[in-house]
Amino acid sequence: MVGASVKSESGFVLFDLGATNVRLVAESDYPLLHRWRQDSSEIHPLSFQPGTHAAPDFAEQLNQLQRGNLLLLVEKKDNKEAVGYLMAYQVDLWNGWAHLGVYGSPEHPMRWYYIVRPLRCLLDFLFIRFPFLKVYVEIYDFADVLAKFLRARGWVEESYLPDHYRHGTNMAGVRRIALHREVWEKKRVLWSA
Amino acid sequence: MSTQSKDAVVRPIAGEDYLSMFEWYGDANCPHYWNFDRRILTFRAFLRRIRNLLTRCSILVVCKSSGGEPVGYFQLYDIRPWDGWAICAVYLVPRARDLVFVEHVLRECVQIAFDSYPLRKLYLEAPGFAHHLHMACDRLGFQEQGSISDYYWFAGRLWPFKRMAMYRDLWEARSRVGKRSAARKPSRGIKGERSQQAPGPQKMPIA
Repeated sequence: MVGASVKSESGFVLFDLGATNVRLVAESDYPLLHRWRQDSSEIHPLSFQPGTHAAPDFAEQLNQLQRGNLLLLVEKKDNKEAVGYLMAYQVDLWNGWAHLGVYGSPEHPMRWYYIVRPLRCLLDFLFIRFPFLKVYVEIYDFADVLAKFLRARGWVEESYLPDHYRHGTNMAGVRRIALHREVWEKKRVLWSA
Repeated sequence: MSTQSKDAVVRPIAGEDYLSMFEWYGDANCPHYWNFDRRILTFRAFLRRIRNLLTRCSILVVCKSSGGEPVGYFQLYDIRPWDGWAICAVYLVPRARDLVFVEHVLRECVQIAFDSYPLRKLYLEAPGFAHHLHMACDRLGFQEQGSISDYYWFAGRLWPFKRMAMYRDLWEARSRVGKRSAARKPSRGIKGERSQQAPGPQKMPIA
């Protein structure tokens, strides 16, 4: 269930949940996102391209990204500390799909506790507001735990690309995991369990 | 039939190609990389888009060697040197989609890509209705990797998007075998013989 929407100084709050707010990314969040982007310990959608980016270049990328995509910051409600972000990108309404990006900062030991419920709300939001047939998540071999977590909740693997991403000294494959609308409708109860 | 009529020239874009390219962009009967988004652009907007593409991709024009008529393009995009792969797209006008010609063009294009960049593998992405490309990929030994079902809406239904992969080591091994068998065989000048030979090295200008 999508929570009530309220305004905050730093950006429009899309979901007002129990422990967290999920709000649109504002320009004042760019330095934080830049810090996450520069952290090479974990790969996430904003750090997919290797190398470093100067802050102004990265800000320009974010401005461009926000024109056709949805970038949301997940923050703790009590102290307004940002835990991670959610992103809906490569949105293709003609063909009925979009990609989801999920990131929880390793600075927060309980990051997944804070991220899971917002993710569920974002899925509800996307399937209710838009005529999507499915949403995709791309998961690399080294994050297989997440793939297992999603499969147990009705997501299905649609494709696998071996030898696709250089991770340290190894090449990792990438899975494309999809949640179909009909499964989402049936599994909503499970998700909220 | 002479093989000469089936041969292709793959070359950089010239100023006079833009009108042909605009026609290809408008081909709604077989959507391709340039018009997957279904937008209808003016010629001026199309030029802007191509110029923008050329800052990130390599685009070459495919011509029939007889007469030099441009019949399609070869595009290399998402070039990722750190991961060692790139994706290519090939478009050919309907009159240039016979299998022998498509296979020949694809062979030339793969060779150009591997000669120009130190890629470990090359992907070719094509929607399920581009049968001519899939058949040529099969004949050249591409492996299907990471195809996605129900991905693109066209002609009243959803089609899969096939991603085919060619590894450099496999390509080079096949080229060596092709060269050896071509050296053993006497030349007969029959149709398709050239497709057995390994193409010569070509350098790709980076757009």
